[in-house]
Amino acid sequence: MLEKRLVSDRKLAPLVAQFVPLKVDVSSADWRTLSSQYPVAGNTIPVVYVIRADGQKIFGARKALSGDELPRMLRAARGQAGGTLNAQQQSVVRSAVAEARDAFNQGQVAKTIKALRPLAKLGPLGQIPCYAKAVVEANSLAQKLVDRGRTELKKIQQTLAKNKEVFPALLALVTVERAYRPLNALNREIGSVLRETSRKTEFKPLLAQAKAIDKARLRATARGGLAKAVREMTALVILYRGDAAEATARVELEKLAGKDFQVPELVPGELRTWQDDTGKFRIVAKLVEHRGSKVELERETGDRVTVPITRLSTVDRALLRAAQK
Amino acid sequence: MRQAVLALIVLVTVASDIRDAAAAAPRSLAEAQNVAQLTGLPILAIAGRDT
Repeated sequence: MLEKRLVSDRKLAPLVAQFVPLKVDVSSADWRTLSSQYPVAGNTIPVVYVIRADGQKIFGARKALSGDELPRMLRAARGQAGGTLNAQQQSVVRSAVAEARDAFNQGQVAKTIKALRPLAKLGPLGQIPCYAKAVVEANSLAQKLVDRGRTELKKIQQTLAKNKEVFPALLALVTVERAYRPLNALNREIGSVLRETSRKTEFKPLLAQAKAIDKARLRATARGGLAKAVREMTALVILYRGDAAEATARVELEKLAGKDFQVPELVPGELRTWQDDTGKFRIVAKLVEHRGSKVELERETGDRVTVPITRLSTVDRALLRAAQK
Repeated sequence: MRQAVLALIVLVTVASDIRDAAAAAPRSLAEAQNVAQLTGLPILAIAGRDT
């Protein structure tokens, strides 16, 4: 009777279409599985079940659900069953989760979050209201990332509170902020630590230096960005000479350019190669004078040229700024 | 005449929906679970005696 109503009642059709219908004979193995996994007291039939996609029982009763009882139950159950995925969404979620799983297992936080990002269309990462298997895994991965980020943040806060190793901790804070930004659950916590940190006068300039180092480091991840990253990091090593940030910038530069990379120096009266960022403009000369927005250089031949500072490379500009300090 | 044609169209549509639903209905619990896990749709199971 109930089964017939589900198939033939036109008014119920749009509601029933939002479920996976299943008819189970009480003498079958499926019934033994269902009744042991989701026991419903009594021994009458029919038994009606609504099981969420993740296996959670939403409804179970031994009755025929006559009149309005059936549509009411179906609507209520649908409200608790979460969203659904169409074929295209299934494929997007499946490949995103496979990529995120691999990256997570390799400990690559930023790559895991990047892989999960397309799923933010379905809801906040970690709390997507859908119980499809792939979405459940995506939520679980995002939750693990939130836990990991929270642990990192706590460590940073402890280090900053001790006032030791301040610069590496600030750089870690900037990195965590960038990497975990798409995770709403963590974004607010990180934001509040950042605000609190930047309010401290002694941390403010260090935080700006940490952001600059992180920005230069990030350049290397863009296609063809390594050379630019090396130039920017070299400039930072020059500019931060003598500051706490110098050691960190040197370590980062070594990672980008290798151990043998030499940071250029500006020795008064010595010839060196001045160039622009493209490397097309080059001149071997010594610095004569630095005047406002221009610089006067002298070639080996004794000829003098005036060059606008804006035409010089990031590294050359850093050398000039450091020389003015 | 127009109403009769409309009623016929509605009937044919409903009949085809029901036929599609019946054709798409999984035949076992494992099959239903598989569809549910892929789509996120909940399973509506009716247990009774086959007649």
